[in-house]
Amino acid sequence: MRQEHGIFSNIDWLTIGLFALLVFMGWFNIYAAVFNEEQPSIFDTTQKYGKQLMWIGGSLLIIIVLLFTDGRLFEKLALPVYIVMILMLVGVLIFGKEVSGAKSWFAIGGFSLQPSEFAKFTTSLLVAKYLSHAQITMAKWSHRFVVIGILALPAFFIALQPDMGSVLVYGAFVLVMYREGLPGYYIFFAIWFMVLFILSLLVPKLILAGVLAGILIVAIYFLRKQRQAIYAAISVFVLSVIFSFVVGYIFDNVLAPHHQSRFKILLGMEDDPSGAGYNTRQSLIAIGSGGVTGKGFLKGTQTKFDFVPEQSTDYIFCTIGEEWGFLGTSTVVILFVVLLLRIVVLAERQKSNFARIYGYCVASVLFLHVAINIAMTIGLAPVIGIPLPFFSYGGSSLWGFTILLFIFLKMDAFRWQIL
Amino acid sequence: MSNTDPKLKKRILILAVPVILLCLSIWGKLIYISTVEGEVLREKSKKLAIKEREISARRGNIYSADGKLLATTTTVYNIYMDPVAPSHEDFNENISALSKALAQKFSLRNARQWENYLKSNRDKNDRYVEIAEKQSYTQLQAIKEMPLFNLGKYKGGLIVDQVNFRQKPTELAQRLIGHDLDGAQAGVEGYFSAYLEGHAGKRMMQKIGGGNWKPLNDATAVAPVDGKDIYTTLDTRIQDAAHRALLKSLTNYKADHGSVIVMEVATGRIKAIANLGLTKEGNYEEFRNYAVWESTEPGSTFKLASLLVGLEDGKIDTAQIVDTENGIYTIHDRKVKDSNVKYGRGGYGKITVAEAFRKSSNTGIVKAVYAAYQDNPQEFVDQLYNMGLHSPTGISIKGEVAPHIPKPSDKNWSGISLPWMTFGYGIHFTPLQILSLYNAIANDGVMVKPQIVTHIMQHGRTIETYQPEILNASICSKETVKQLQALLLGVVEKGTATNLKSEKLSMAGKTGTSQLNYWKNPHDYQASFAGYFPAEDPKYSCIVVVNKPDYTIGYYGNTVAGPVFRAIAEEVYLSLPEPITPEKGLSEWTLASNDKTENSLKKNYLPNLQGLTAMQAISLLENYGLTVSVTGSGRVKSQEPPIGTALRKNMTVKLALQ
Repeated sequence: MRQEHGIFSNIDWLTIGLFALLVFMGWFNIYAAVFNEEQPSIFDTTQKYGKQLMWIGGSLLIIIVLLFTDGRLFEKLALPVYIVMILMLVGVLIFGKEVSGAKSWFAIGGFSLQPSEFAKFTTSLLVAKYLSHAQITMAKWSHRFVVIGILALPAFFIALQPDMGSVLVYGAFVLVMYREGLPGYYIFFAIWFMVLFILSLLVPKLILAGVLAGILIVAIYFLRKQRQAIYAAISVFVLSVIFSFVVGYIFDNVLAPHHQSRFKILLGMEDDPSGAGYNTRQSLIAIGSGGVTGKGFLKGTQTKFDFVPEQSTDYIFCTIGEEWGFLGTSTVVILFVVLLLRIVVLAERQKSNFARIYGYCVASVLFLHVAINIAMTIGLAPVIGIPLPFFSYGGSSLWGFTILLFIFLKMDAFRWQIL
Repeated sequence: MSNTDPKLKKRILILAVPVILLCLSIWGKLIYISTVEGEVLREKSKKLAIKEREISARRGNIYSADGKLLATTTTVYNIYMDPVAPSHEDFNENISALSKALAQKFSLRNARQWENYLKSNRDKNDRYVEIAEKQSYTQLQAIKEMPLFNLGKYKGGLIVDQVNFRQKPTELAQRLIGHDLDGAQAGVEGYFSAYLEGHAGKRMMQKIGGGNWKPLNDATAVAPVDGKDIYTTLDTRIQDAAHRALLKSLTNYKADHGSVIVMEVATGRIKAIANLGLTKEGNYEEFRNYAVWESTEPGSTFKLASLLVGLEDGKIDTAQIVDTENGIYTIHDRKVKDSNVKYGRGGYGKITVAEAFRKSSNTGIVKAVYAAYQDNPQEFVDQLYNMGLHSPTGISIKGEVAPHIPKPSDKNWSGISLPWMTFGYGIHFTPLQILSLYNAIANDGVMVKPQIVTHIMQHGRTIETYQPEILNASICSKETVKQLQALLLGVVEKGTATNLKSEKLSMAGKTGTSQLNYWKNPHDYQASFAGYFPAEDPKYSCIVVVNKPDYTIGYYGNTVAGPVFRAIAEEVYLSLPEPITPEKGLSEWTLASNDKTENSLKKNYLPNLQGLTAMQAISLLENYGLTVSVTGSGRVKSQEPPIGTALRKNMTVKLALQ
């Protein structure tokens, strides 16, 4: 009796409130994005907005099922669901329906299912399960390799679809690994090589090498008492120089031309308003023309059909920008930040390692989606097809994120029963 | 690990730094976009949301003198499909029904083939799949009702491309009617393009929610001005006769090409102009205006001009005797030969000039004219210039080549220039220019300008009329004309063209057989016949020119070109007295003027829409927020509700077009 009562009294209503707010804002914006006067009813299930309402209804059902599931089941099922998901990812490559050159979808009757959207929570569960074992430590290379293996397997099959946006999501788990003890210099080197990557495209190689040599000399001066550190600095220098030359070579000779141009446009090295830069430019016009307060609901002109592509999915954020202005976009950003912070806070209060690590997985995955999607929409990141959680149109995406989040909320509600 | 572990706290804080930095840079960029860049982006957005749309003007029609439509613009619709646009469910649910409907309408593919066609293109992600071309408005409506397509523009995937299509309903005189394509203008279409094309209107359209465009009722809107209608001089019956007769001769003699012009003697109005050339596929088609454009050495038909000059100057008399000897006459080591010369023998002996003309004796004519002018060739040439034979006719068609008549002062002038000119060599004329001379003789010496357009109309009102134009009121004396007329009649009565003699009517004219490229190919002939009918009271002049007939079948003017002339003359003459009545045309309808219509609308009542084109009526009414439904095609014939009905919101105006 007390237990059933417990599900709803122990649950974190703040997160649920944020979730509901984001989902319904998403629904209204999808309506605005694909609105046409021939089908004006927001409940018209032949339209994307009507369908999204059906997906929302479906996710409510999922939530109820999850909340009534035994909280211990998640840890037990982590490995089986992970394996099932890998089989589905392999299956989609064989039986999937090809849409715009990618085999990402199962067509079942009139519905489409995108397994990669669900692989995020299954991978999170297995990563959490593995890392939560007491004897597992991020300090050991063998353990690191196991985690990398868990991540690489789904990422590999998704890359074969190909869906590079979804592959990128698996990079988010670095944050989880860091929280669980991966040494900080890995993060430092990750950032260092990212900066070096961009610089080696922008700056002539020899100048870059010269600057690096300068930094090395300064570093040697400061580290002159520590012989070990000097060796380390020299090897970092050599690696960096080799890296910058390799990057240039790979960029010119390995990367497909349309990938090259996406980077070049982002770095301002190339301007192509009608080609690869078209999406970003149109998206910027939409957001910018919304101004501070926006044009008003359904009053957007850029975000309908022809100007901005993928309007209801990957570029939904610019509908918000055009119709609700800076106030609207800020609200969405704030809501996401609050949600992420809340998840981190919830994660830190978990007694079970499994729940805490899973919480970090949820936060990292959501953070990466939000950051990349919005950064892409406003021209800070190259064009990477990745949905905005809870907002973007699509049943698989909405259900995937709902399951991801609510498994964690159930764990959180269940935390008192873990002793 | 526990929450109070300070080392862990530090780790979390370090983790927070890049996360916070990223959030801040996103927020910063958002502020930057909506404030600093905002102004520029808002302008861009406005530019994208407001577009100037052109309202195309209806191109004018071209009519024949007997009221038939020679060229008109019809709106047709090219139908395409975006098979990717419909949702998976809609597509699967409707594809077989749609394929059945398509197969019923377009037998190009059966239902199964249509289904495969659309499905495979959907799989290929082809978003512009052709369904059908050149569909009428009613056909389009039927297509819109088909399964899947009836789900609307975005869900059904139907793409409709409106195309204005220029048609030549009679398919006659295609080359004279011509065309006016991008950069290529020809015929009446080309010459009168400025009248025909009208002025496109402009209207600003604003993008509004729901992917729709609404017209902005601003002062910059410009209503389209429709093109004017051109009424030509062509008579479809005569044109048809000329076309058929020419085609028959070209086919019989396997000629390369030919042309026929029929002109009204008194006015210079061209009643028919047929140009047929052999295509690569072996058919005869209208693709070049030989009648106006092809300038060649005319040969014997020019003997008329030679005698004209001689008679007028009193230096030659038709009764004067010339000795044609054995048909060969040598001047400056070059030989003039009669056509009957075989193995060095031929000619007609001593004959009169009139007979030399009738028999088309080259030696006879050359001897007579050369004797009169060899001391002063300038005089002969001056006479030709005085008559105006050196200038183009000035017909309202682009591409007329000016005649070429050499002068004694020219570099190339030689001793044989004059004698050869007298029987039509060393000079260049187009068929129309030669006909113009023959027409002047038929018209008792009055040379008129060939005319192809009589008037231009707009919305049923004549806005411009072209009167017959006299180029030379008297090219020679009445006596000379009479003599020449008698000579031409003689050619048919007892000369080279006796085969044309008809019990039905009398004809007068001159045969011509010239070698085209005698320096290259001795068998390239041009057979021609120029003349007029009826001989005693000339109504029509006509020239027939057939180029490069198969010489093994025949190449003489009388056998190749003459019968064409005769066939046309007989056919035209038999139906001559029939008065020409224009078809029940637009002018009978009460035509609404644009200004009046606008005024009525401004005063909130329904104007008279009769006579407006569908596009005009629709754009006018829709500007005032009315819904329009249309049946039929053409111009507005009747309207419902009637004229003067007060405008109401959401009112539907039904227009019947005809």
